[in-house]
Amino acid sequence: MVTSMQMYLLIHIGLGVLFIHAFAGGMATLLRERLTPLGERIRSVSVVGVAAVAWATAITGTWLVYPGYRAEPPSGASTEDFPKAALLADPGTALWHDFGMEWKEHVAWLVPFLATAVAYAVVRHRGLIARDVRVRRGVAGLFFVAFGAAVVAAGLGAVINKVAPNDFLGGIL
Amino acid sequence: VSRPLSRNRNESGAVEAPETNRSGTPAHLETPAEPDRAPNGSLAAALVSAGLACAVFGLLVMVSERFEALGEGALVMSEGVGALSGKAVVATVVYLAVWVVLHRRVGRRTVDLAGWLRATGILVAVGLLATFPPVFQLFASH
Repeated sequence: MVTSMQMYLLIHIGLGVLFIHAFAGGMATLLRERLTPLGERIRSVSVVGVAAVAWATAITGTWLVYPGYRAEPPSGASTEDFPKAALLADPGTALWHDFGMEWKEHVAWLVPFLATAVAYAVVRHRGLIARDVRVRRGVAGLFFVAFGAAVVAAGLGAVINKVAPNDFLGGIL
Repeated sequence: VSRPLSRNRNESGAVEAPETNRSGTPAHLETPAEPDRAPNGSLAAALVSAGLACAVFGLLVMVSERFEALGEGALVMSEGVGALSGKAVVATVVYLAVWVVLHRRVGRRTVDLAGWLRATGILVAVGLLATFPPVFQLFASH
């Protein structure tokens, strides 16, 4: 039996995996000046996929997973089922919230904005990207920054899931 | 009333030979390449509005650290999510609004993309810096 919290987390992680794969296709084709028609299609599908998955990941992470992380334990209750409270209760792990989760939850929201701009550029200005090396490098740079921000967010999320006592997840991680 | 000059007719009205390339093919018969000065304003609008959304999100993070009325009040659109809900919603609304406005203003124009790309880079850098905990926690009120 999978609880709703487990389901939300699995969806969030699954979207993250999709993001990585879509990014690979987008970056490999975005750096090339000339593409075959198949390459053009891979590039368009990849960057649009990255943008869609970035929005879905940020929204599910914020509205479905994050409330479970930051829930306050009732007075006198154990912090075992409350990751944020458990991390902050121990000075040795407080940094994982004060730095780790604070960075993750914020930098992750830059990704959908950047990925959407890149997707628009690739779909609507294909010719300009092929012709102007500055534009191609600029768009690829934004794509790379979006990927870097997503890697920071995903990496911190994975580590925090290991450090925090997520007993409510039933040991799925 | 001045009339636009017709193709191959100079200002004195004389007909000129059509421009040809090295192979002798009239230029207007070649496969039309996309003109170098094609409208690029919509790309500039998309890039800068994304950069601005990053900067606005970052500034909201810093401001909510500084002012509890925002961090624990106005920006809390969902009790479960806390102030992150307001930061995300406000930045997204600003993003879409600015994109629409910029698209309408410069979407059909040809702009200096280098400047717009530079502005985008600066705005993204502001967003990245302002969402880095050691930076935004400098503004913490407690």
